[in-house]
Amino acid sequence: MGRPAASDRIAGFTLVELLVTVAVLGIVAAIAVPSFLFVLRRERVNALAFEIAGWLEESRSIAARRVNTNPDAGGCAIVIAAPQADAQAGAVIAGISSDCTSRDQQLRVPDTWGGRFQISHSVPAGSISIAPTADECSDSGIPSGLCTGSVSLFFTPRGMWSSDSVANLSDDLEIRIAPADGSGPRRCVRLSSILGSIDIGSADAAGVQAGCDSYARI
Amino acid sequence: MRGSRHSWRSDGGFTLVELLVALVAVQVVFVAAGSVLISHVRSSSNLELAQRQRDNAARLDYLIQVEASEAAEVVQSSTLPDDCVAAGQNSLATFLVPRDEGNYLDSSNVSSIYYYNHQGNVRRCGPQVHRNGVLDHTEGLALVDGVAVRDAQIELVSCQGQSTTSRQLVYRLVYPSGYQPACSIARARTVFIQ
Repeated sequence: MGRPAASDRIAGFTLVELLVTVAVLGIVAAIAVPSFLFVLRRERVNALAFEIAGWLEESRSIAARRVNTNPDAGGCAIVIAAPQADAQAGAVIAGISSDCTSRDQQLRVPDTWGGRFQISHSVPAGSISIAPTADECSDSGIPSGLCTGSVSLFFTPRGMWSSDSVANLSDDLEIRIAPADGSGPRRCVRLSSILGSIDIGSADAAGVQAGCDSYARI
Repeated sequence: MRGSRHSWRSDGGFTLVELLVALVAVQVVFVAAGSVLISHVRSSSNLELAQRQRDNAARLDYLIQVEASEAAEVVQSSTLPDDCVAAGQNSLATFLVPRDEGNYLDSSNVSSIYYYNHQGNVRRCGPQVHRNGVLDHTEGLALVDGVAVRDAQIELVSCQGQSTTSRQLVYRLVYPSGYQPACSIARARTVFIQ
Protein backbone atom coordinates (compact mmCIF):
# COMPACT_ATOMS: atom_id res chain seq x y z
CA MET A 1 0.00 0.00 0.00
CA GLY A 2 1.50 3.28 -1.01
CA ARG A 3 0.89 6.59 0.64
CA PRO A 4 -2.15 8.27 -0.88
CA ALA A 5 -1.41 11.26 -2.99
CA ALA A 6 -1.46 14.55 -1.09
CA SER A 7 -4.69 15.66 -2.73
CA ASP A 8 -6.51 12.46 -1.63
CA ARG A 9 -5.55 12.64 2.05
CA ILE A 10 -8.27 13.49 4.52
CA ALA A 11 -7.16 16.38 6.63
CA GLY A 12 -6.31 15.05 10.14
CA PHE A 13 -3.84 15.53 13.01
CA THR A 14 -0.40 14.05 13.02
CA LEU A 15 0.91 12.19 16.05
CA VAL A 16 3.17 15.13 16.93
CA GLU A 17 0.26 17.56 16.91
CA LEU A 18 -1.72 15.27 19.19
CA LEU A 19 1.19 14.86 21.59
CA VAL A 20 1.70 18.61 21.77
CA THR A 21 -2.01 19.10 22.52
CA VAL A 22 -1.98 16.49 25.23
CA ALA A 23 1.15 18.01 26.76
CA VAL A 24 -0.41 21.47 26.79
CA LEU A 25 -3.57 20.08 28.40
CA GLY A 26 -1.40 18.33 30.97
CA ILE A 27 0.37 21.57 31.88
CA VAL A 28 -2.92 23.45 32.21
CA ALA A 29 -4.35 20.67 34.37
CA ALA A 30 -1.25 20.67 36.56
CA ILE A 31 -1.78 24.38 37.19
CA ALA A 32 -5.52 23.97 37.81
CA VAL A 33 -5.49 20.96 40.12
CA PRO A 34 -3.95 22.56 43.25
CA SER A 35 -6.45 25.42 43.18
CA PHE A 36 -9.23 22.93 42.61
CA LEU A 37 -8.03 20.94 45.61
CA PHE A 38 -8.10 24.12 47.68
CA VAL A 39 -11.70 24.74 46.64
CA LEU A 40 -12.51 21.15 47.57
CA ARG A 41 -10.92 21.50 51.04
CA ARG A 42 -12.68 24.80 51.54
CA GLU A 43 -16.06 23.32 50.67
CA ARG A 44 -15.42 20.39 52.99
CA VAL A 45 -14.61 22.53 56.02
CA ASN A 46 -17.54 24.83 55.16
CA ALA A 47 -19.88 21.85 55.07
CA LEU A 48 -18.66 20.70 58.47
CA ALA A 49 -18.88 24.23 59.91
CA PHE A 50 -22.50 24.57 58.75
CA GLU A 51 -23.27 21.17 60.24
CA ILE A 52 -21.85 22.23 63.63
CA ALA A 53 -23.63 25.60 63.60
CA GLY A 54 -26.93 23.99 62.67
CA TRP A 55 -26.66 21.39 65.39
CA LEU A 56 -25.86 24.00 68.04
CA GLU A 57 -28.82 26.12 66.89
CA GLU A 58 -31.09 23.13 67.14
CA SER A 59 -29.82 22.27 70.63
CA ARG A 60 -30.46 25.84 71.70
CA SER A 61 -34.03 25.78 70.52
CA ILE A 62 -34.67 22.40 72.17
CA ALA A 63 -33.33 23.84 75.43
CA ALA A 64 -35.68 26.84 75.16
CA ARG A 65 -38.68 24.54 75.60
CA ARG A 66 -37.35 22.69 78.64
CA VAL A 67 -38.44 24.87 81.53
CA ASN A 68 -37.89 23.51 85.03
CA THR A 69 -38.18 24.96 88.50
CA ASN A 70 -35.11 23.07 89.72
CA PRO A 71 -32.07 25.36 89.29
CA ASP A 72 -29.88 22.36 88.40
CA ALA A 73 -32.22 20.91 85.80
CA GLY A 74 -34.01 22.18 82.73
CA GLY A 75 -32.41 23.37 79.55
CA CYS A 76 -30.04 21.01 77.79
CA ALA A 77 -26.50 20.00 78.66
CA ILE A 78 -24.02 19.60 75.82
CA VAL A 79 -20.61 17.94 75.94
CA ILE A 80 -18.06 18.95 73.33
CA ALA A 81 -15.58 16.12 72.76
CA ALA A 82 -11.84 16.46 73.30
CA PRO A 83 -9.73 17.73 70.36
CA GLN A 84 -9.15 15.23 67.57
CA ALA A 85 -6.27 15.23 65.12
CA ASP A 86 -7.83 13.06 62.43
CA ALA A 87 -11.60 12.82 62.54
CA GLN A 88 -13.32 10.96 59.73
CA ALA A 89 -16.98 10.76 58.77
CA GLY A 90 -18.95 9.53 61.76
CA ALA A 91 -16.56 10.80 64.44
CA VAL A 92 -18.39 12.37 67.38
CA ILE A 93 -17.82 16.13 67.85
CA ALA A 94 -20.43 16.83 70.52
CA GLY A 95 -23.46 15.26 72.14
CA ILE A 96 -26.61 16.43 73.89
CA SER A 97 -27.71 14.84 77.16
CA SER A 98 -30.18 11.99 76.84
CA ASP A 99 -33.01 13.89 78.57
CA CYS A 100 -33.17 16.22 75.56
CA THR A 101 -34.41 14.57 72.39
CA SER A 102 -32.74 15.94 69.32
CA ARG A 103 -32.91 14.86 65.69
CA ASP A 104 -29.26 13.87 66.15
CA GLN A 105 -28.27 13.09 69.73
CA GLN A 106 -24.65 13.31 68.64
CA LEU A 107 -23.07 15.81 66.31
CA ARG A 108 -20.91 13.76 63.97
CA VAL A 109 -18.57 14.58 61.13
CA PRO A 110 -20.73 14.30 57.98
CA ASP A 111 -19.59 12.29 55.01
CA THR A 112 -17.82 14.88 52.88
CA TRP A 113 -16.49 12.43 50.34
CA GLY A 114 -13.32 11.45 52.07
CA GLY A 115 -12.78 14.60 54.15
CA ARG A 116 -10.68 14.21 57.31
CA PHE A 117 -10.45 16.96 59.86
CA GLN A 118 -8.62 18.36 62.83
CA ILE A 119 -11.24 19.43 65.34
CA SER A 120 -10.68 21.36 68.53
CA HIS A 121 -12.47 23.62 70.96
CA SER A 122 -11.13 26.88 72.32
CA VAL A 123 -10.70 25.85 75.98
CA PRO A 124 -7.04 24.86 76.53
CA ALA A 125 -6.62 21.46 78.17
CA GLY A 126 -5.07 22.92 81.31
CA SER A 127 -7.75 25.50 81.96
CA ILE A 128 -10.93 23.45 81.98
CA SER A 129 -12.46 24.33 85.36
CA ILE A 130 -14.85 21.43 85.85
CA ALA A 131 -14.58 18.77 83.17
CA PRO A 132 -17.60 16.57 82.42
CA THR A 133 -17.65 13.33 84.38
CA ALA A 134 -17.45 9.93 82.67
CA ASP A 135 -21.19 9.54 83.27
CA GLU A 136 -21.95 12.87 81.64
CA CYS A 137 -19.80 11.89 78.64
CA SER A 138 -21.51 8.54 78.18
CA ASP A 139 -24.93 10.15 78.67
CA SER A 140 -24.13 12.48 75.78
CA GLY A 141 -22.71 9.67 73.67
CA ILE A 142 -19.12 10.91 73.81
CA PRO A 143 -16.70 7.96 73.41
CA SER A 144 -14.64 7.38 76.57
CA GLY A 145 -11.44 8.13 74.64
CA LEU A 146 -12.68 11.65 73.91
CA CYS A 147 -13.91 12.42 77.45
CA THR A 148 -10.60 13.65 78.88
CA GLY A 149 -10.26 17.15 77.49
CA SER A 150 -13.94 17.56 76.72
CA VAL A 151 -15.97 20.51 77.97
CA SER A 152 -19.59 20.81 78.99
CA LEU A 153 -22.00 23.66 78.67
CA PHE A 154 -25.72 24.10 79.01
CA PHE A 155 -28.22 26.02 77.01
CA THR A 156 -30.90 27.49 79.25
CA PRO A 157 -34.56 28.17 78.49
CA ARG A 158 -33.74 31.86 78.91
CA GLY A 159 -31.69 31.79 75.71
CA MET A 160 -28.40 32.36 77.49
CA TRP A 161 -25.85 29.61 77.90
CA SER A 162 -23.51 28.88 80.76
CA SER A 163 -20.78 26.40 81.55
CA ASP A 164 -18.94 24.93 84.48
CA SER A 165 -15.95 24.07 82.28
CA VAL A 166 -15.21 27.59 81.11
CA ALA A 167 -13.37 29.57 83.76
CA ASN A 168 -14.42 32.97 82.48
CA LEU A 169 -18.01 33.05 81.31
CA SER A 170 -17.30 36.28 79.47
CA ASP A 171 -15.22 34.32 76.95
CA ASP A 172 -16.64 33.03 73.71
CA LEU A 173 -16.51 29.33 73.04
CA GLU A 174 -15.31 28.15 69.65
CA ILE A 175 -15.21 24.86 67.84
CA ARG A 176 -12.36 25.01 65.33
CA ILE A 177 -11.90 22.80 62.33
CA ALA A 178 -9.29 22.42 59.61
CA PRO A 179 -8.27 19.67 57.18
CA ALA A 180 -6.40 16.83 58.90
CA ASP A 181 -3.39 17.03 56.58
CA GLY A 182 -2.29 20.25 58.27
CA SER A 183 -3.36 22.53 55.44
CA GLY A 184 -5.80 25.43 55.43
CA PRO A 185 -8.36 26.81 55.53
CA ARG A 186 -9.60 26.94 59.11
CA ARG A 187 -13.16 27.58 60.24
CA CYS A 188 -14.38 28.52 63.71
CA VAL A 189 -17.95 28.11 64.90
CA ARG A 190 -18.24 30.69 67.64
CA LEU A 191 -20.76 30.65 70.44
CA SER A 192 -20.75 34.20 71.79
CA SER A 193 -20.56 34.59 75.52
CA ILE A 194 -23.88 35.04 77.30
CA LEU A 195 -26.48 35.00 74.57
CA GLY A 196 -24.79 32.38 72.44
CA SER A 197 -25.26 33.85 69.02
CA ILE A 198 -23.60 31.45 66.64
CA ASP A 199 -21.44 32.60 63.79
CA ILE A 200 -18.83 31.07 61.56
CA GLY A 201 -15.42 32.61 61.16
CA SER A 202 -12.62 31.85 58.78
CA ALA A 203 -8.87 32.01 58.50
CA ASP A 204 -6.69 30.88 55.63
CA ALA A 205 -4.08 29.56 58.04
CA ALA A 206 -3.78 25.87 58.81
CA GLY A 207 -4.35 23.98 62.03
CA VAL A 208 -6.71 24.55 64.93
CA GLN A 209 -4.40 26.08 67.53
CA ALA A 210 -5.55 29.65 67.02
CA GLY A 211 -8.90 31.31 66.41
CA CYS A 212 -10.24 32.90 63.26
CA ASP A 213 -9.66 36.45 62.09
CA SER A 214 -12.68 37.13 59.92
CA TYR A 215 -16.27 36.67 60.96
CA ALA A 216 -17.81 38.89 58.31
CA ARG A 217 -18.20 36.36 55.52
CA ILE A 218 -17.01 32.86 54.94
CA MET B 1 -5.19 35.70 3.25
CA ARG B 2 -5.92 32.94 0.84
CA GLY B 3 -7.17 33.90 -2.57
CA SER B 4 -7.99 30.43 -3.82
CA ARG B 5 -10.51 29.30 -1.20
CA HIS B 6 -13.45 27.51 -2.70
CA SER B 7 -15.07 25.86 0.28
CA TRP B 8 -13.73 25.24 3.80
CA ARG B 9 -13.59 21.50 3.11
CA SER B 10 -11.12 22.01 0.33
CA ASP B 11 -8.21 22.77 2.67
CA GLY B 12 -9.64 21.50 5.96
CA GLY B 13 -8.10 24.15 8.25
CA PHE B 14 -9.13 27.29 10.07
CA THR B 15 -7.82 30.72 9.23
CA LEU B 16 -6.26 32.87 11.93
CA VAL B 17 -9.31 35.14 11.94
CA GLU B 18 -11.63 32.22 12.54
CA LEU B 19 -9.50 31.00 15.40
CA LEU B 20 -9.38 34.42 17.02
CA VAL B 21 -13.14 34.81 16.73
CA ALA B 22 -13.64 31.40 18.30
CA LEU B 23 -11.21 32.30 21.10
CA VAL B 24 -13.02 35.54 21.84
CA ALA B 25 -16.38 33.75 21.82
CA VAL B 26 -15.11 31.16 24.29
CA GLN B 27 -13.69 33.90 26.51
CA VAL B 28 -16.99 35.74 26.55
CA VAL B 29 -18.74 32.55 27.64
CA PHE B 30 -16.19 31.95 30.40
CA VAL B 31 -16.36 35.51 31.70
CA ALA B 32 -20.15 35.36 31.77
CA ALA B 33 -20.15 32.02 33.58
CA GLY B 34 -17.53 33.26 36.06
CA SER B 35 -19.41 36.43 36.91
CA VAL B 36 -22.62 34.46 37.42
CA LEU B 37 -20.78 32.11 39.76
CA ILE B 38 -19.18 34.95 41.73
CA SER B 39 -22.45 36.85 42.09
CA HIS B 40 -24.12 33.66 43.25
CA VAL B 41 -21.48 33.05 45.92
CA ARG B 42 -21.71 36.69 47.00
CA SER B 43 -25.48 36.76 47.19
CA SER B 44 -25.65 33.50 49.13
CA SER B 45 -23.11 34.82 51.64
CA ASN B 46 -25.18 38.02 51.90
CA LEU B 47 -28.25 35.91 52.50
CA GLU B 48 -26.45 33.98 55.21
CA LEU B 49 -25.42 37.25 56.87
CA ALA B 50 -28.96 38.67 56.74
CA GLN B 51 -30.33 35.45 58.17
CA ARG B 52 -27.79 35.57 61.00
CA GLN B 53 -28.64 39.21 61.74
CA ARG B 54 -32.35 38.37 61.89
CA ASP B 55 -31.72 35.42 64.20
CA ASN B 56 -29.56 37.45 66.52
CA ALA B 57 -32.04 40.31 66.63
CA ALA B 58 -34.84 37.88 67.47
CA ARG B 59 -32.74 36.37 70.25
CA LEU B 60 -31.93 39.73 71.77
CA ASP B 61 -35.61 40.68 71.62
CA TYR B 62 -36.54 37.49 73.40
CA LEU B 63 -33.93 37.98 76.13
CA ILE B 64 -34.84 41.62 76.68
CA GLN B 65 -38.54 40.75 76.86
CA VAL B 66 -37.80 38.05 79.46
CA GLU B 67 -35.53 40.26 81.54
CA ALA B 68 -37.84 43.25 81.31
CA SER B 69 -40.79 41.18 82.42
CA GLU B 70 -38.85 40.14 85.52
CA ALA B 71 -37.83 43.70 86.27
CA ALA B 72 -39.64 46.11 88.55
CA GLU B 73 -37.97 49.17 87.11
CA VAL B 74 -36.10 50.35 84.02
CA VAL B 75 -33.33 52.89 84.61
CA GLN B 76 -31.63 54.86 81.88
CA SER B 77 -27.88 55.60 81.97
CA SER B 78 -26.70 54.12 85.22
CA THR B 79 -23.00 53.68 85.89
CA LEU B 80 -21.58 50.26 85.00
CA PRO B 81 -20.00 48.46 87.99
CA ASP B 82 -16.47 47.01 88.08
CA ASP B 83 -17.43 43.56 86.82
CA CYS B 84 -18.50 44.96 83.46
CA VAL B 85 -16.05 45.43 80.62
CA ALA B 86 -16.83 49.13 80.24
CA ALA B 87 -16.83 49.81 83.99
CA GLY B 88 -17.43 53.45 84.81
CA GLN B 89 -19.29 54.24 81.61
CA ASN B 90 -23.03 54.56 81.49
CA SER B 91 -25.36 51.80 80.49
CA LEU B 92 -28.05 52.48 77.92
CA ALA B 93 -30.69 50.78 80.01
CA THR B 94 -30.63 48.90 83.28
CA PHE B 95 -33.25 46.49 84.53
CA LEU B 96 -33.71 46.27 88.29
CA VAL B 97 -34.88 42.75 89.06
CA PRO B 98 -36.06 42.10 92.64
CA ARG B 99 -34.16 39.24 94.29
CA ASP B 100 -36.00 36.05 95.06
CA GLU B 101 -35.09 36.29 98.75
CA GLY B 102 -35.15 39.02 101.35
CA ASN B 103 -37.43 41.99 101.63
CA TYR B 104 -39.15 42.69 98.32
CA LEU B 105 -39.94 46.21 99.38
CA ASP B 106 -36.29 47.08 100.02
CA SER B 107 -35.31 49.02 96.91
CA SER B 108 -31.67 47.94 97.25
CA ASN B 109 -32.60 44.25 97.29
CA VAL B 110 -32.40 44.02 93.51
CA SER B 111 -30.08 42.56 90.89
CA SER B 112 -29.18 44.88 88.03
CA ILE B 113 -28.93 43.86 84.40
CA TYR B 114 -27.11 46.39 82.25
CA TYR B 115 -27.39 46.73 78.49
CA TYR B 116 -24.90 48.97 76.73
CA ASN B 117 -23.05 49.61 73.48
CA HIS B 118 -19.32 49.03 73.53
CA GLN B 119 -16.86 48.92 70.62
CA GLY B 120 -19.52 48.28 68.04
CA ASN B 121 -21.27 45.51 69.94
CA VAL B 122 -24.29 45.33 72.18
CA ARG B 123 -23.22 43.95 75.54
CA ARG B 124 -25.12 42.68 78.53
CA CYS B 125 -23.68 42.69 82.01
CA GLY B 126 -25.68 40.96 84.67
CA PRO B 127 -26.01 38.03 87.04
CA GLN B 128 -25.20 34.49 85.94
CA VAL B 129 -28.00 32.09 85.18
CA HIS B 130 -28.77 28.72 86.67
CA ARG B 131 -29.20 25.77 84.39
CA ASN B 132 -32.94 26.29 84.32
CA GLY B 133 -32.45 29.83 83.05
CA VAL B 134 -33.33 31.60 86.29
CA LEU B 135 -31.03 34.41 87.41
CA ASP B 136 -28.60 33.55 90.18
CA HIS B 137 -29.32 36.35 92.65
CA THR B 138 -26.68 35.30 95.19
CA GLU B 139 -25.36 38.51 96.68
CA GLY B 140 -21.71 39.25 95.97
CA LEU B 141 -21.53 36.82 93.03
CA ALA B 142 -19.53 38.27 90.15
CA LEU B 143 -21.57 39.62 87.25
CA VAL B 144 -21.09 38.11 83.81
CA ASP B 145 -20.42 40.46 80.95
CA GLY B 146 -20.73 39.31 77.39
CA VAL B 147 -21.61 40.27 73.87
CA ALA B 148 -25.33 40.02 73.28
CA VAL B 149 -25.25 41.03 69.61
CA ARG B 150 -22.14 41.62 67.56
CA ASP B 151 -21.66 44.45 65.09
CA ALA B 152 -24.81 46.22 66.14
CA GLN B 153 -25.95 49.11 68.30
CA ILE B 154 -28.97 49.40 70.49
CA GLU B 155 -30.68 52.76 70.71
CA LEU B 156 -33.63 54.18 72.58
CA VAL B 157 -36.33 55.35 70.24
CA SER B 158 -39.92 56.31 70.36
CA CYS B 159 -42.06 53.63 68.84
CA GLN B 160 -45.80 53.52 68.25
CA GLY B 161 -46.09 56.72 70.25
CA GLN B 162 -44.30 55.21 73.27
CA SER B 163 -40.93 56.00 74.70
CA THR B 164 -38.73 54.64 77.45
CA THR B 165 -39.96 55.24 80.99
CA SER B 166 -39.23 53.69 84.37
CA ARG B 167 -41.67 50.90 83.48
CA GLN B 168 -40.74 50.17 79.88
CA LEU B 169 -37.81 50.06 77.51
CA VAL B 170 -38.47 51.15 73.94
CA TYR B 171 -35.51 50.34 71.77
CA ARG B 172 -34.33 49.45 68.33
CA LEU B 173 -31.38 47.37 67.21
CA VAL B 174 -29.33 48.99 64.44
CA TYR B 175 -26.97 47.11 62.19
CA PRO B 176 -24.49 49.27 60.28
CA SER B 177 -25.61 47.54 57.10
CA GLY B 178 -28.09 44.96 56.02
CA TYR B 179 -31.16 43.94 57.97
CA GLN B 180 -32.85 46.68 60.03
CA PRO B 181 -35.16 45.27 62.71
CA ALA B 182 -38.30 47.09 63.78
CA CYS B 183 -38.49 48.81 67.17
CA SER B 184 -39.68 46.87 70.22
CA ILE B 185 -41.30 47.69 73.53
CA ALA B 186 -40.28 45.67 76.60
CA ARG B 187 -42.39 46.30 79.67
CA ALA B 188 -41.38 45.77 83.26
CA ARG B 189 -44.09 43.53 84.62
CA THR B 190 -43.16 42.99 88.23
CA VAL B 191 -45.35 44.98 90.62
CA PHE B 192 -45.60 44.96 94.38
CA ILE B 193 -48.74 45.43 96.33
CA GLN B 194 -48.18 46.76 99.80
